[in-house]
Amino acid sequence: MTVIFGLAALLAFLGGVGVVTSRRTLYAALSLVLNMVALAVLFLLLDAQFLAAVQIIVYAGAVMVLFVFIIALLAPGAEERVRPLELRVLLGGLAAVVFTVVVGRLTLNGITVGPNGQLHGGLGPFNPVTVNAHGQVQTLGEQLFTTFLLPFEVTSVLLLVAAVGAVYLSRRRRPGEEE
Amino acid sequence: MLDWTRMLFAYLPLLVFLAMVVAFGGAMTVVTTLLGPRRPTRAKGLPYECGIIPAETARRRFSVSFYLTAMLFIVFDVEAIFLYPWAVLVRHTLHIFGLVEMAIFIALLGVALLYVWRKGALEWN
Repeated sequence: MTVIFGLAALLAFLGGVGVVTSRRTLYAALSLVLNMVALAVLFLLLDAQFLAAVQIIVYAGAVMVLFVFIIALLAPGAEERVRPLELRVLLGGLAAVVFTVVVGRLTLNGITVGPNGQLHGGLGPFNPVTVNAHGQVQTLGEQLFTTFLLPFEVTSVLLLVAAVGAVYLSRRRRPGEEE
Repeated sequence: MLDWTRMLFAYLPLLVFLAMVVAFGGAMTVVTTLLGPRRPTRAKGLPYECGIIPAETARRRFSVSFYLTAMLFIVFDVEAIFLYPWAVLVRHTLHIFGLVEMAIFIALLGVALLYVWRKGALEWN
């Protein structure tokens, strides 16, 4: 278990480093795929099967296809090497630390880890202990399709708007406007 | 803890498959490099373009149609992802209620498909 976690975490890290250090945008996009697939493995390790599926099907699949097509549409050359801005690096590091602390604090809210790695306690109806006992896909599905029925149905309207927007954005120019 | 390990075990075939893909691809490359004769010529060094002499640079801009296709793919991909948790629950938890709500969800996206179709966005060119 620890070996798989270490391997996936390392690949995710390498993918992330590849995204920011690659000078060719396409290589950066491919590094992002590596990062996303490794994250999906980490989600599986956390028993979040639905998130893993979303990560692979939507992010590593559809979103990356869009990224690659946008790169092909813009056809950029290699990025020029610029000196990294110290302030940007500093702020990025600060954001990473704050994010990790906040998310970690929220996740571990009232939860203690037992000697064999099992979790105890936890506040609220939906904490890692109760959710994992019931199954993450089951918990998420039950909430989504009953309590959050309206937002779920509104999502389809949102997707409808997205489809209309996509058609509008890439509409054919009238003759004469052609490049 | 025990259950945890057993769940992950279900993904073992996937890992084996992945390992075989990497091993096969790697072995093909290594073996051809080791055993194959190497007589490079200028023609052999050209990028492979279906066997013809490369017509133009590959670094040109692609049609916006690819972009539209990818965006529409995301829309219907996100629709499909909702079917996964639904499929887990519909039979024993949601029953007819779940069937109806998913029918409404899909019907609304059917309107999207109809719109995209009628606008000719599914046609190439």
